[in-house]
Amino acid sequence: MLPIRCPWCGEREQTEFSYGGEAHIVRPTDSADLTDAEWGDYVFFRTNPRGLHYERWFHAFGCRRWFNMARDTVSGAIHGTYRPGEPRTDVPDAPRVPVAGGDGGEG
Amino acid sequence: MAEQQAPITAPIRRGPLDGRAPVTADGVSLTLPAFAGKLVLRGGSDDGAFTAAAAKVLGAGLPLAPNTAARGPRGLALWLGPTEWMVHVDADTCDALAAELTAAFAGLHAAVVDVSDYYAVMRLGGPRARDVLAKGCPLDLHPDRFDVDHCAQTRFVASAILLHQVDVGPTYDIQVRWSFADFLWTYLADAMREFTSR
Repeated sequence: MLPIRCPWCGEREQTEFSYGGEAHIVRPTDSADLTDAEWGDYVFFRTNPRGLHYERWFHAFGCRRWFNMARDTVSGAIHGTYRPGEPRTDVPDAPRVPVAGGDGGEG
Repeated sequence: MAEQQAPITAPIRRGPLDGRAPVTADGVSLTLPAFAGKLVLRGGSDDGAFTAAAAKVLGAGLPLAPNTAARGPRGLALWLGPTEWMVHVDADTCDALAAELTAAFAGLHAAVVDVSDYYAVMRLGGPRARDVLAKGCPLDLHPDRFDVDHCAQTRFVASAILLHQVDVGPTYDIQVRWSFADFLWTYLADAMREFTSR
């Protein structure tokens, strides 16, 4: 059992939730002026880090609201959840391992 | 000559489970409560005008604490989310209450929707009810965590349910979408067989 704290409902089981990809991706307001590469980066490319990752989750079986989560993609540890519009959960000592450039170890 | 029929004044069959015989086992029973009218209210918890208007019509304040229900003179209000409540009312008074709420919400960022026939409610009660629910529901149902007039939208196996604890029996009312009602009823009935003595 993997408990996740919904910012509204409190702690619930992971099977009540669904994953919604990387968080804090802002749609460009000047999309008409973007190059194909810039637009492609917005639409398709995600950071996919090893270590700390900010992601969107959806409480599908509960209050049906979206929220954000700071999670470690290596250990699976959840550092915190917060509502949209709230500042990111700060995790100062979380491992931040770059994706490119080979093996970063287990962090 | 055609036989004269009495005019039909009320639907004969209202819910998908109407007519099901209660299922009983040792220490647990599955029954069908009287059909309830169901209204969804939308509006902000932090919108004082909305909560005041709702409280005035319902005769009691909406439950603002997450996962709680509040009984009032007009019905039972269940918290669904920070901007959403379910109100169970007597089926005969549902239309009138919906109209009153709609009038009270005029000019506010709020909504009332009658969803009476979208959901079915079944009642699971008895000392073994927790054991039966635990077979498909991941919630911690210990009375320290989930007690009378607590409610939660959660999961039972594959179905999304709204669970409300009615009394310390414990008795639970389980609301589910109409199309899942037969699945849930038969699953619960099967889950209860373990507690049947021969």
